[in-house]
Amino acid sequence: MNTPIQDEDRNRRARTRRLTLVLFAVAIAFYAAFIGLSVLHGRA
Amino acid sequence: MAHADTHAHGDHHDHHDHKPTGIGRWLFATNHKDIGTMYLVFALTMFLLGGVMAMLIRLELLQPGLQFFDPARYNSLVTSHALVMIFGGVMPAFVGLANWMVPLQIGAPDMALPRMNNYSFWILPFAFTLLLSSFFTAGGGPAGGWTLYPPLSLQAGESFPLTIFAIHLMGASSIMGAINVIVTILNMRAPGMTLLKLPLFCWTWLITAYLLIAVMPVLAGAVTMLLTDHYFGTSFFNPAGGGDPVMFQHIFWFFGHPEVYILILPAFGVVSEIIPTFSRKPLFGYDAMVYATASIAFLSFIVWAHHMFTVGMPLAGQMFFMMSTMLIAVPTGVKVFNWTTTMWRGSLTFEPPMLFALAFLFLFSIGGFSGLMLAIAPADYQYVLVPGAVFAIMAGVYYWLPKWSGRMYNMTLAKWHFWLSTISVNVLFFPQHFLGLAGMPRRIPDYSVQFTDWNVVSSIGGFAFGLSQLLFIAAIVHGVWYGKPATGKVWDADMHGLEWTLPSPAPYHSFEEAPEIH
Repeated sequence: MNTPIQDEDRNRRARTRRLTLVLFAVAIAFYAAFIGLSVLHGRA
Repeated sequence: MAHADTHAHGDHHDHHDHKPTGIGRWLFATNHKDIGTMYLVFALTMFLLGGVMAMLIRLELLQPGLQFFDPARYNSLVTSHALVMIFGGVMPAFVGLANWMVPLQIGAPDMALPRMNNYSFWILPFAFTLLLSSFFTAGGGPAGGWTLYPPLSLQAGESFPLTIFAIHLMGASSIMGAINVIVTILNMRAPGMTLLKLPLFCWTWLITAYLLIAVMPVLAGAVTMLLTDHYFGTSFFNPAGGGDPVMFQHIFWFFGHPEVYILILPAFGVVSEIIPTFSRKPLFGYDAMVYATASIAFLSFIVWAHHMFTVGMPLAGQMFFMMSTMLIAVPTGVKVFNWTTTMWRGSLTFEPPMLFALAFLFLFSIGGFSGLMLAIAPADYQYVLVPGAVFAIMAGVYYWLPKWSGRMYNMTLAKWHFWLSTISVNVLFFPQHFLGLAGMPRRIPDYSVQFTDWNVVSSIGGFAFGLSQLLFIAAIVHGVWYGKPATGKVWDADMHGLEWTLPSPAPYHSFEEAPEIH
């Protein structure tokens, strides 16, 4: 049985992990999007 | 996550309390204060290195004709000066301030991702070693300007891949730093600290961090495409292969303009902390300041082509970018108004942080006004960056140094530093307005004789500004080693903010138990 503090701690870790991954994904998406758009611009 | 450790592993407190020693303390640092210190020392080193480059540039421009450098070497100096100052000086300095102050201001025991914090710092020395080692390759250092426009930048010699890789590393470091700031501020605030109770320095950094995540990958994409154009036969920017060099400019400035705000928004945050302290009044219009910062950040994404008015855009495009640029003056005006109104009928005193913050206010406004005028036609970057971002960093260091070191620096020395810097920076940059109006182009090692007089004045100002920074180092070193002990509140008995509830120097591990905000 977890204490409320342990629960809060685990939730906070999960939120941290989730937010970090989302932000990395956004960064990679911007990188890929600009290269992708440039490829499309060249073909247009 | 350090915060979680505090609660979940309370029996390890003794283990956590000791301070690591030796080189390992710095190499494997996860403590936000140690990493903040490393960032600040690194930034100061780069600031001095970039400053030496600037003085060499001014030395060459002291007289018409070629004196000391051939044009290629001169171009390398100009390019490296910019890259070193922007990516090695100003940005790491603000990350250093964030590392030190964000956890202290929000009542967190550390940054949310301490190991990533370590990586993001230690990438930087390698990145700049790569960049600077390119000076020793055949053909010298990068010479295409910090904007790296093709086809010029593609004509670089062996420095090219080193520069590109260095920029990728700097970008990766910035993105990791930004993610750390966002996660820390969103997840680690003390109970009761709602977003609209967040100190403005944290707010400006939160918004800056989002800008970083949005635009550093765009720069990375642009330089990756330069790399593939150079080595892998693609033609992103090569018209001969169906590419478009103007597209590079669009992509670069989609990064480049928000980058300007990445350099200045944390400066706004520092100034917003300092002016209320030395006016003995709360900040006027806190909410408006937050919204103005967010508005500036949003607008910074839709103004990029004002850097490229001469490339031949449709009139509608020019009008759009002109109008959107002028629109930025509105939230910026809100900020200047609020800082001024904070001082109105305040009980003002003029300690070194306040002096630098006031110089920031005056000189940044000059730079900003000329920017507003230039929105109407094509920018005076220097006035916004040096007395803007750099003065705000100095203000921040003078403001928080007693909290970091536990000692108060010598006020007289710091005031000498302020006055010499402020006078010389104007002697350095103001004549460049006259030279520009008279028709002198930028980034050239030689010029017509009629431009000599103001160039001599500007160079003298440059040398004076460079030398007066030795006083900055003297004030810091003397203060840290020999200064008188500082109190916890440092500046005034009535200081607000969680960082001032801690003793000076702030203990190695702070806020292990989260404070309650009411």
